[in-house]
Amino acid sequence: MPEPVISVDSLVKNYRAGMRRSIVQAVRGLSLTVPRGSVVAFVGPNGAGKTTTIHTLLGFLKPTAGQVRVFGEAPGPAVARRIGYQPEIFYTYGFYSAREALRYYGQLAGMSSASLDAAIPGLLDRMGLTDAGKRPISSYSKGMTQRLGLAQALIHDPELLILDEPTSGLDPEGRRLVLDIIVEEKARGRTVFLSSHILSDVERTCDEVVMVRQGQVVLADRIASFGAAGQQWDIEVLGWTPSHRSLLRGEVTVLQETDGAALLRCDAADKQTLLKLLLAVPLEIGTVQPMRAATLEETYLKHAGVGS
Amino acid sequence: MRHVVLVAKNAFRAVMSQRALYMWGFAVVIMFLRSGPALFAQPERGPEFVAFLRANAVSGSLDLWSYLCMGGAIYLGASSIASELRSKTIITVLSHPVRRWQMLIGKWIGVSAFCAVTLGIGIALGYGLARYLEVNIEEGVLAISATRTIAGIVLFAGLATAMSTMGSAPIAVAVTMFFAIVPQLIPPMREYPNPIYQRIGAVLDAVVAPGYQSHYNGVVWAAPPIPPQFRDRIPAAIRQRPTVDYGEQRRETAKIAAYAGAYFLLGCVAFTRRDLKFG
Repeated sequence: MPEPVISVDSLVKNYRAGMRRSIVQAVRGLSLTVPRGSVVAFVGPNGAGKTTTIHTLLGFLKPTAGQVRVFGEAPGPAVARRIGYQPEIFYTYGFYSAREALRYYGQLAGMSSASLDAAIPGLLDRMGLTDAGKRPISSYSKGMTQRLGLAQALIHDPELLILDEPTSGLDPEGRRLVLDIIVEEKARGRTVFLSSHILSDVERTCDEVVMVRQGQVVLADRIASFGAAGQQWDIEVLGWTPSHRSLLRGEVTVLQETDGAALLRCDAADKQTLLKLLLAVPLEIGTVQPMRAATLEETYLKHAGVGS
Repeated sequence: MRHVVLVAKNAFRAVMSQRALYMWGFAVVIMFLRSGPALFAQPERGPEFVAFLRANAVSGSLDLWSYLCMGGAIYLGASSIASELRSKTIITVLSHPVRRWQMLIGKWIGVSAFCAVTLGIGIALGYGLARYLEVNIEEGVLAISATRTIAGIVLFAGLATAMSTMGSAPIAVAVTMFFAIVPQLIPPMREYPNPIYQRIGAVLDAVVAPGYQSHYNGVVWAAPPIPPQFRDRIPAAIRQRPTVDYGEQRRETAKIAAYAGAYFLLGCVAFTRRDLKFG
């Protein structure tokens, strides 16, 4: 198995806060891995420890306990060359134009003048900032600044993109642009670690989701498994008596039992066998319908949402 | 080195974008006001009096300008990293392969370069003023004075930049001002009869860099117009041209540079080790 691009093992991050310097646990034993070439969503409510984890990946914060590895190394300038990071709100120098800002960040990433000359016009065009490219950034709207933030993350063609709420403050057109770019980067074999609150964006672009709450991972699963139909089936049976329970074989659950009727749930693989059995008894079959797995939003609200 | 230069250029540009031309214009107005008495001196007040006013105008203006440069070094250094932390612009910079100490040195160089350029503008204006007032500048004294000012700029910009990593520009200014003022207090403390004060004085003498000493009064000098009947009562130090011990000044400058480096190194170590937490 290839080495994951990001590997976080039992990460703990404590802060001291307030006048009494009391300890606040921002992250409590969080573990996750991001495989190469995947798009992994990092979701959770505000204050769940997402940005703290990301800032630890970037080396801004040092773990209190646990281990963080990016490309198999501890975070720092050596691996930063391979990372493109877009913060939740892109703060930059208002006196630069977009061209100058991209040149500055590109140079910091180690790019030569010639490669910057080649990359900047295309990137500005991709972000829809060509016309505003020479204007001071202080005159930009929030959406334009966010798009420039994504451009600076992409300027050095990084292997790993860490995007913290990349669609925050964007209009529908800008949001679509960002999502298209994530899909394009994935198609190019890049790895994307995306922190987002917008679950529809996550469903559209990501392969996997990691949900966090109160500094801990509460769920990690493939996006395809959410909302999928046909994994389980519900079968309504008429003429049912409790003695019929003894007939059931395999993974069959009796969801409901009322006078002369029952609602059974079985795996898709067991459906045909169960139906044959019920008809042989004989019992009358009412409705037969596929069960839909919980959607990402339902799962989020259950595991990470308010009131969970 | 590439990252240091890039950050230094960025810091210089950032200062220039903050109405630097207005700041220079304001400094020129102050310099003009400082030179007012010489510019409008009546010749009938006597040649000795006019020569004194003119010499005083040039040397005083240069002296004032040098203090403005060092004040600028403290203010700009103190806000350099603090403003990056406050505005969160540092996040994007450090997400690229830039080491924190490289950013710190870049800021230090950028701020020092701006203040040194400002000093250069002041010296050019001083030359212009001297030419207009028809007085001669002692270039050797000017060179050592400017060197001491640049050493002061480097020291205070370095200290203020290092202190600004704590995230508060006012605290960085306060600490740097303390280091600027305290050298004046050390000699009286060391000579004070109480041994506790003497020990505190000795510790401060070791910890604090030598204080700034201006020599601009010797750049253009004219004897003060003292009436003959008072001449014997005025100390010789005022009546005679001040002398500059160039060797001593070079040693002091080197000492200041060493202190600046040491303070800055401590700042770098502290900044590299700490967590960068953004609200």
